[in-house]
Amino acid sequence: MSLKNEIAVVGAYEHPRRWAPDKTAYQIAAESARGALEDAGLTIKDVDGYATSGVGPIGVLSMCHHLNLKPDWIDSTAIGGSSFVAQVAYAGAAIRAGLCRTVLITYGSTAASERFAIGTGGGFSQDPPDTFDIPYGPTIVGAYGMVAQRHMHEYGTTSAQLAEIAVTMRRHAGLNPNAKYRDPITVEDVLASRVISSPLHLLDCCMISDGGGALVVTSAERARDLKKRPALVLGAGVANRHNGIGQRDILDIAARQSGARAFERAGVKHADVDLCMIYDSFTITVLATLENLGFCKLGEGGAFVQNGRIGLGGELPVNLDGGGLSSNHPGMRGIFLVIEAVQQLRGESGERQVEDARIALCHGTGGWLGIKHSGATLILGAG
Amino acid sequence: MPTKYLRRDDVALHYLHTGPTTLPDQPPGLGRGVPLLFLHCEGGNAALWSRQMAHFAALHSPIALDLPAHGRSCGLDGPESIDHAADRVCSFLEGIAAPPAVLVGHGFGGHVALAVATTRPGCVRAVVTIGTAAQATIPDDAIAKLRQVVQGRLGQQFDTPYFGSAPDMAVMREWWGEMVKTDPKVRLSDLLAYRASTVATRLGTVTQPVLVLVGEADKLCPRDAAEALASGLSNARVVTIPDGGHIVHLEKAAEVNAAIERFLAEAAA
Repeated sequence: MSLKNEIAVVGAYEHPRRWAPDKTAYQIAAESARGALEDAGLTIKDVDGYATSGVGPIGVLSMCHHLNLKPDWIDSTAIGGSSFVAQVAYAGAAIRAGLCRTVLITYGSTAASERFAIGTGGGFSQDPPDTFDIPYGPTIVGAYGMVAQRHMHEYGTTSAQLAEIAVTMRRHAGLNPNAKYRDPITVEDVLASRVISSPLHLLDCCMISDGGGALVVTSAERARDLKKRPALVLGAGVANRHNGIGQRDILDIAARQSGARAFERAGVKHADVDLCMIYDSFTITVLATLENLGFCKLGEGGAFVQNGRIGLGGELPVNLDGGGLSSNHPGMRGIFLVIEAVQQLRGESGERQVEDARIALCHGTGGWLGIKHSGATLILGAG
Repeated sequence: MPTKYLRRDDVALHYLHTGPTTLPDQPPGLGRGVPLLFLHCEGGNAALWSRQMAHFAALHSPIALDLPAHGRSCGLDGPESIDHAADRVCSFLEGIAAPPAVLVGHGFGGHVALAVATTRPGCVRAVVTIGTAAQATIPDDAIAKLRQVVQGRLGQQFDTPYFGSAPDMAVMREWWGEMVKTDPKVRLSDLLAYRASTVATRLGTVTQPVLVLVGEADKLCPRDAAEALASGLSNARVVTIPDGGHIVHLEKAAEVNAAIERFLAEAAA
């Protein structure tokens, strides 16, 4: 049983706010749910499956209550910021298995107005393996910095090459009226910004914002009767890496496995992909993801992102919304990857529209690259 | 302290008030004594007025506003000009259906209060400025340094000129804790608006009584700058608070509150 051409994303909505101290995370999620359902031409009464993440162990139940939902299928996958990308596939599997017909996926966060230190925070939880890492004081930005340092050591990648990614995301954000940071920046600006965790500068790091979004997933058959052109799921894959520091090569990331599965299931080639939405928690995340997804060889990412290749109008436009580096990052960015991809495939992205976008790849990274992380890849096609 | 939001011009404005809470979208009662509207300094927020809110709650109806993009109010960008900020304040006063209020502003907030008095005199019963100059002299290097913070080249700067001759560590900590809550790019917009303000040219039109408060040891707005402001106004007096710095309303709250109270009694008479 495959998902290919059987499952569709029929509603997508990104909450426009980046700073919402007057709202709760639940309000943002609920407003986004309304937006995505309107986008699909459906109502909350049509929803019989519900998924969310980042709401604590049984927060999904509180969200059901908040949305007045009694769904037949409930999911709160918690693999970090990539969860929402994986949930599109999981929702598709549930629909194919007959567990439900229409799944609503929501996300809401007030990370900025609650002053939640995402990237500089210390360890999580009481996970047994963490007892070997956390005493040494790793931070998220420190972990990603370590990956960047390793990449530079192994392949001679430079800070200017990483900076090119931040500059490109900012250029795209300038075309997105809702993006938080829209003023253009240069490679020099990135290099002159202060170092947060060597070799990553401030402008190599995503922001912390408020925000949220929602998606509606249903069968391709049902999608035909709905308001807008659907985005069809072509293939998906989910993987993890680095369970326990020092056990693996930190440049071999989950995208290698999840990407390979997604391409295989979708039956498409890299050259077929018109645009990528890649979780850009840090510039190095984009570079490592492009390499591990196979868009270039390991070690060639630095050169690959140069000369406008990943910008609008380039060979492989990446993060047309401006990404977490310049548009929004409320803590778990995965859902925005899918929202922008759907809008691009429908041709709704205005000034930042990729011409004749037919196939979009979304890749979410969750957790800490270099320590333990997940990867979720989703390949969507214009319906 | 009760807090509320008021939605105006598609921006939810956050404010502190005293007295009984009310339902959402219902402004609080402003019937006790005089409505006092406190306006924070550049890059500041309403919480910096906690000592004044507590003091005036018994006899008056104090409100402290977070201007858009400051503190807990919505918006990402600071004001384009002092008059732009003043428009927001007028819109807020309309939104809460306030009778003519006494506007109390600190630094940049004082300029905004004076701008409101010149453009919408009907909203303003009297004005109190604290550490406000007629024409702010903000050095280029201070602007340049803040611009570097905004560009990510410098961390937020802990500047000591705000404090008086004998700074208290707890007050410094409180000040710093509140100031870092507003995006430095908003503070930069405030400073640029303050520096470019043309309110000084319109001060002659202000007929309401104005109390010009200044800390004796204010390094950012020295006493002669405060006196220059008062001299441009038809009905103003200067009160100097001994040993006070620029944030005199935090450092010398009792003296500042007493001076405002005396002014209110006289202005009412």
